[in-house]
Amino acid sequence: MSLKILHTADLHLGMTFNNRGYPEAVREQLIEARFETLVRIVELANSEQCVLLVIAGDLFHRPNVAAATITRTLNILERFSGCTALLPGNHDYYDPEGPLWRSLRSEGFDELVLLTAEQPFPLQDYGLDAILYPAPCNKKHSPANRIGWIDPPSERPADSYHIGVAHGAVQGISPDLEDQYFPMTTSELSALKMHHWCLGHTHIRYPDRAEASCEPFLISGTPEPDGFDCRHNGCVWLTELNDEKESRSRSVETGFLRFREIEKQLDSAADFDAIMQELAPEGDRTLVKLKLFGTLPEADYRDRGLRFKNLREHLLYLETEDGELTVEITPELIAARYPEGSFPHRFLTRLSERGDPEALQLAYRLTEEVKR
Amino acid sequence: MIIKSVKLTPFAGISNREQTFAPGLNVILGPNEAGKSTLVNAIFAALFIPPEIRKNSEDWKNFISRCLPYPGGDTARVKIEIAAENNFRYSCSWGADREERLILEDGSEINDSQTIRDQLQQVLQLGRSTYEEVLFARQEEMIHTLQKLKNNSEATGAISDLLRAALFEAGGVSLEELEEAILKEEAELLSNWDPGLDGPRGGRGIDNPHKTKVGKILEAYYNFETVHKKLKSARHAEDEVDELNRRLAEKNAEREQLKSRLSEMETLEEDIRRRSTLEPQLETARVKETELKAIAKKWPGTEEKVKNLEAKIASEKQRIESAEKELKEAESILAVRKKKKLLERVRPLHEKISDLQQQLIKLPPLTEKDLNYLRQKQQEKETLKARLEAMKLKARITAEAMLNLTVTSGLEDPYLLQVEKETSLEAAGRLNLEGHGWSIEVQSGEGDANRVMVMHRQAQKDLEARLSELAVTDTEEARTIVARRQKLQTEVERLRSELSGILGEEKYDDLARAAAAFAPDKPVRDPAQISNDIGNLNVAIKSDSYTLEEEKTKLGEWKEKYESSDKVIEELSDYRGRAREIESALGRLKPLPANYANPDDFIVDLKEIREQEDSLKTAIARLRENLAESRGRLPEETTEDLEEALRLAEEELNRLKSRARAVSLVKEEFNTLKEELDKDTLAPLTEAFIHNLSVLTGNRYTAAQMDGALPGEIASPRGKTLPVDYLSTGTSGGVALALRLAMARYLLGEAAGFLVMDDPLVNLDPERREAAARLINEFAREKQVIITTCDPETARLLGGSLITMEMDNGDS
Repeated sequence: MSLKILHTADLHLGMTFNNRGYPEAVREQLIEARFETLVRIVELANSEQCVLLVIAGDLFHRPNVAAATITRTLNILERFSGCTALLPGNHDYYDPEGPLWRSLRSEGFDELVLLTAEQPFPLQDYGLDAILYPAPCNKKHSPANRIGWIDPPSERPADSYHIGVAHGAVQGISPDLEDQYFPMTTSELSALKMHHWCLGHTHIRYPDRAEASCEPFLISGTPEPDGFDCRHNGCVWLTELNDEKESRSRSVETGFLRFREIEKQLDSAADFDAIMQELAPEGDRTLVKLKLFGTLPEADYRDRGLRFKNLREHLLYLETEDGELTVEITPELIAARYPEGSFPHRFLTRLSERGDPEALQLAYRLTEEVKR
Repeated sequence: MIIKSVKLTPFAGISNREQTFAPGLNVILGPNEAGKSTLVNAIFAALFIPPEIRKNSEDWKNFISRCLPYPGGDTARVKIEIAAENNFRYSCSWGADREERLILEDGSEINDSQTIRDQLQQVLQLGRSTYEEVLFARQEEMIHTLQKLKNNSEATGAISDLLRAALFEAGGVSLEELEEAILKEEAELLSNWDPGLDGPRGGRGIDNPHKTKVGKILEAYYNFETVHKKLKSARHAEDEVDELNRRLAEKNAEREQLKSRLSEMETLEEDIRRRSTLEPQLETARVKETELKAIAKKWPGTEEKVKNLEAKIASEKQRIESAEKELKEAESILAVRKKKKLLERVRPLHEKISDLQQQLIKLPPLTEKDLNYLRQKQQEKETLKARLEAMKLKARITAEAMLNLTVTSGLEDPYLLQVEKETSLEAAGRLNLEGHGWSIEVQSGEGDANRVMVMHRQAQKDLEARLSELAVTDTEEARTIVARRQKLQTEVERLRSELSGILGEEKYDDLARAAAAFAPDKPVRDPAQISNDIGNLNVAIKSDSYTLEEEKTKLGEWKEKYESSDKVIEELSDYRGRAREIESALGRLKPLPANYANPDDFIVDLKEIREQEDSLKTAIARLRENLAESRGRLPEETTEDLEEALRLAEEELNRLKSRARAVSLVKEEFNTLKEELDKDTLAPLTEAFIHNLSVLTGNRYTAAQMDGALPGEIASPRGKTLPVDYLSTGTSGGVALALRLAMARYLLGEAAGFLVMDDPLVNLDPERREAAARLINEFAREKQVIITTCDPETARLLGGSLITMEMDNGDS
C-alpha cells in the first residue's frame, strides 16, 4: 500500500503586511490570499486523494495570532478528508501554555495531529501504517536543531513508513547566517534513514524543480508568495511513497498572488516598452516593484508617470523606484528649452558638467516647474 | 508713464497754476523763487504722498507742511494728468480738506485710497525710494546723489534686479521663482534636519521629536527610529517569551521528575506508615519480654534477701544494747578512780589551810580599822606636843637666897629645883613655878597653851583606853598583830584558791564524804573503743535497712504489678506471643527502600518531596502568569517583519539624503551662477556710466571701478584712479549726472518714463555743461525729462520745450 502526502509549510497566516506601505485594500487582499491558498491546498489534497497533509511549521506567522485566525484555519483544514499533521515552526513555535497551541488542542478536529512532542507519532489510529518523527520548534531561535531525539533506525518497526517532519535551516541550502534557525545538515538528516523527510522554514522549494524522487529531504517552500523576495508562484509537494518506501514527488503551484521585482536599465523608449510588454500578462493578482535606472529621452522620461499610471491600473500594486532613472539632459535639450546665455541655460549646462545626474535631474525638474 | 500736466490750486507759494509737459525734454526756466521747485515738489507730492498723511510723520513735518499755501490757507491741492497704458487724472489735497480722486480715461472714478495707490504703483513701477534717488532729483539731492545712493539699497537693488531680470527672464524663468523652488525643495527635505550632525536639529531624537516643520528626511529618520525601537522591543518581547518558556519547561521537567518519584513512593507509603507503627510495637514487646524475664528470675532471691537482712539488723541492734551497758559501767568505774586520785592530791592543801586558820584564831582580833584609830590618836598627841614645844618660854630666876621650888615646864612632870643664885629655865608653852606660898604660872602669849595641853591629855587618854581595850601595849604591837593576821589570811585564801582550782566544781567535804562509799574497783575496756563498736553497728544497721527498704520496695512494686512471681511468668509468655505476631505482620509488608535507615526517614522525605512539588507548582503557576503577560506584549509584527520594515526605512532615508545632497549641489550652483551673473548684470550700467562719464569729463575719466551699481573709483585713460569721495564739487556733480542718467536708462528700460532734475547743470563749467546738455538730449529722445534752471543760457543750451516762470506771473 502506497502513501500519498501533500507536504506544505510556511503559509504564515496572520501576517499583517504592515512593514511596507501597501494601501489598506492591498494589505487586506494579501492577508486574505493566504487563507484562500490554504483552501486550495486542502482541495488539492482531496482531489489528489492524499491521505496525509503534512504542514512542516510556520502555518501561522506568530504565536499570538488572533483567535479568529485559528478558528478559520481549523475550519479550512477540517475539510481535508485525510489526516493532517501540524508541526510547530519557529514562527508558531510550540508554547504549551500559549493561546495558539491551547486553541489548536481544544478546538482541533479528530484528524488533526499536533506534532508538538519529541516522540514518534504512529498514525495507525488514522488507518495509516506510518510513523511521523517530528522536530517541533519550541522557540523562535535556537542554534540547536530538534532532530537529536530521533532513535536509530534499528529500533523502528520494519513495515511502517517512517517520515521525518522538521522545521529549520538546512546548511548550504537555507540562509541562516547566525545559525539561529534550528540548523540541520544534509548528512544529519540522511543519517536518520527516514523513508522521507518533509521540511519547512525555507520559502523556496528544494530541490527547485518540478519533480523529485528519493531525495534525502524535500523543502516545500511557501505555498503563497509573501513579498518581493519571493520569486516563485508558491508551491507544495505531492509525494507518493510506494511499497518499497521509495518516494516520487511532484511540485504543484498553489499561489494566488505574484510578486515581481524588476530591476531594469532603461536607455530608450523601447526598453520601457519591453517592461510594459513583460508585465502585460500580469493582472490584478500581481504586485510589482519596479526599480528603474538609466537615462531616457526627455519625452519618454516625461511620459513615465503616465506609463506607471497605466500599469498601476491593471496590477494589484505597483511600487516604483526611479530615483536613478534620469531624463536625457543633453546640451541640445537645454538649448532647445532655454535661450543660449540665459540663466536656466547656463545653470543646467553647468550642472550637467558637474557629472551629478541626480542634481542635474533635480535642477531640470525645478527649472521646468517654474518656467512660464 | 509720462506726466502730461500738473495743476496747483494752491500749493506752497503758487495759488493757481496749470502746467503741461511735452513727452521729451522740458526745461523750466525762471529766476530763483519763481516757483520752479514748487512745481517739481507738487508733482512728487501728488505721486508719492497720500492725503491722509499723519501730521507727526516726517513727510508732513519736512515736506507737506511747507507746501501749504502761504501767506494764508490750510489746504494744498494738486491735479496731475498721466499718460500711460491707461491715461488718467489724479487729484489730491492735503491739510484741512483732504481728498483724492482718480478719473480714468473713460470717465470712471476711483475714490478708494488703496485702489488709487495700486493704480499709481502700477504706472510708476518702481518704488518711491528709487524715484527719490534716481528719477526725481530735486536740486539739493543732485550733489549728494552718490552718498544717498550708497544708503539706499532699494534704488541700487532695483537697478540690479531690473538688469538681472532683463537677462534671466529671457529664458522664461524667473530667478526668484527658481530660487524659491530650490529653497522650497530644500526646506521640504531638510527642515529641522542638521546635515552637519547628520541628525535632527538640536539633537532631538525620537524621544523628543520636532512636532512642526518636519522635513522629509527628518520624517524618514523618525520613521526609521520608530521602526528600530519597535524592532528592539519586539526582540525583547520575543526573547522574554523564549526565556520564560525555557524556564517553564525546566520547571515542568523538574516537577515531572518529582511527581514520578512521588508516585513511586506513594505505592509504598501505606505499608511504610504501618511499618513505622509496628516496628516500635515490636521493640516495646521485646523490651517488655526481657524485663519480665529478669523479674521472674530475681523474685525469689529478693524475698530471701529481705528475710536475711531483717535478721541481721535485729542481731546488730542487740549487740548495740550490750555495748551501751558496758560503756556505762566502764565510765562509772573510771569516774571513781578519778575522784580518789583528786582527793589524794588536795588533802595536804586542806590540812595546811586548817593549820593556818588555827593560827589566825589565836591572834587578837585586830583589824586595820583599829590600827588606823590608834595611829590617828598617836598622831594627834604628837602634833599637839609639837605645837606646845613651839611656844618656847625662857625664864631667869635669880635668888639671893637659895630657893627651892617646883617647876612644871609644859607637859613635863613637875620637878624640884634649887636655885642658889641664879638659873635659867626653858619651857614649852607654860611654865609653872611653885614654891611655898607662891606660885608663878607663865604662859606663852602665842596661843592657848592650856587648851593644847588639855587636848594632848585627852588624846593620850583615848589612846591608852583603846590600847587597853585591844589588849595591846602600844600601836606598834597593834600594827604587828594586824600585819600577821593579814599574812595568814592571804595564805589561807591562796591555798583555798589552789584547792578550788584542783577540785573544780567538786567540794572537798563532799568528796571526802563520798570516798567512804566508793564501789570497789575492777578492770574495764576503754569506753572509746566501746563507742566505736556501737558506731560501726549503727552504720551497718543503716546500710542494711536501706538495702532492705529497696528490696522491699522492689518486691512491693512487683507484687502490686504482678501479684506474684507466677503471674510474671504468665505475662512473659503473653509478650512472647505478641512479638511473634508483630514480626509476622512486618514480614507481610513491602520492604523499606534500602536508601532509608528507617520508615520515619522515608516519611520525612516523602513530606519534603511533596512540599517541593507543591512549591514547584506555585512557581510554575507564577511563570505561566508571567508568560501570559509577556505573550500579551508580543507585537503584531514579528522581528522579521520589522527587520524588513527597518531596511525599507533605511533605504528611504538614504534616498532622501542623497536627494538632499543633490539639492545642496543645485543650490550651490544656483548661488554661484547668480553671483557671477550679478557681476555681468551691472556691466551695461557700468558701460553706460563710463560713456556718460567720458562725455561729461571731456575724456579725462574713461574708466570706473564699480562697487555693485555704484562707482567706487574713477580712472583716467592713463590709469590714474580717484575715489569718488575725493572728487571736486564740479566733477562730483558730473559723475552724479552720468550715473543718474545711466541708472535712469536701465531703471526705465523700454517703458515710457520720466526723469525730473532740478537744475542739474548748476555746478558744471561751460564745457561740461555743454556735454551734459548733449547727454540729456540724448536721453530725452526716448524718455520724458523735466529740468529746471534759472540760467537762460543753460535753457538755451538744453533746448527742448521751454517753460518760463516769472516772479510775478507764477500764479498765472
